[in-house]
Amino acid sequence: MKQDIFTQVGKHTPYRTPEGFFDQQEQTLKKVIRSQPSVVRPLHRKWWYAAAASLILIGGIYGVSRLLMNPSTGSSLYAQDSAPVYSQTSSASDDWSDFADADLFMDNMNW
Amino acid sequence: MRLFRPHSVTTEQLIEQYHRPLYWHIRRMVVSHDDAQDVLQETFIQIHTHLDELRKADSERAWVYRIATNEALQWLRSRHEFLSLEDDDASPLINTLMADTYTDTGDALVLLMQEAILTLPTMQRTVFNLRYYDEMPYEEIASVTGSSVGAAKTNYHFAKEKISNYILAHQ
Repeated sequence: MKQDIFTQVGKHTPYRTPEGFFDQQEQTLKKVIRSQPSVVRPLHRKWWYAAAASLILIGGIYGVSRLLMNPSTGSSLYAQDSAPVYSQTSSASDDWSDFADADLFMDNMNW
Repeated sequence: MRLFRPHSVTTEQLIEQYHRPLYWHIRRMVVSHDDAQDVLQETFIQIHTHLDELRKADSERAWVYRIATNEALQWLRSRHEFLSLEDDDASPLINTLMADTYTDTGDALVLLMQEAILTLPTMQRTVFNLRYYDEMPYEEIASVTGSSVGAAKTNYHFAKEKISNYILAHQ
């Protein structure tokens, strides 16, 4: 007899909603969530991102510094500028020798 | 059963998947349509804020239902405090059921069963709703309510008995 009550009523409830409520509700909820400030995740859980970013940064700095130190090793970026650079050095060679003379002069100084 | 997708799930995906069942779960708890909307919105804000914790959950569904249940219980408590009533006093909820614009009063037996459910203590009512309407396994109910599987089974058994007795007494 007691089981019959549940069988009779089943899962029906007296609760109703307005027409089209759920479609509208879904959009409203998404708008509300988009308007929320972005959630800051704890950094310790993202340590591998930080580690990867650091490696990329260090690699990048190392690569760029190598190119800057030794332009002849590589890139077309330096190839265009190579001729003016050489001409500058050849014309500047006198200055270097002057500097070397100055160096000698300094060595002879009694400090 | 641990899920494999919590790392990639977004709040919007959870809204698409759960906004209907969570609305009905909350509605059965707070009764009023307007209040259910407010509690549902607050539930998804909480889900969004704590989404990172989903990875620790054994079941995605139990996790979202737990948040919804907590929000509904918090709302009920604040309402009872406002009305200076005991936690398990069902009369305001039964009054709301009868007065709400979106209650269908056409079927007396359906209405009587809902009234009987509203007379249950909060824990029994929550367990009954999760088992009977959402067809949730006891393990998941235990996770939602923060109790043991045995306690969930006992609560469901007592709830069914009380509902049957209430209906027989009021028919």
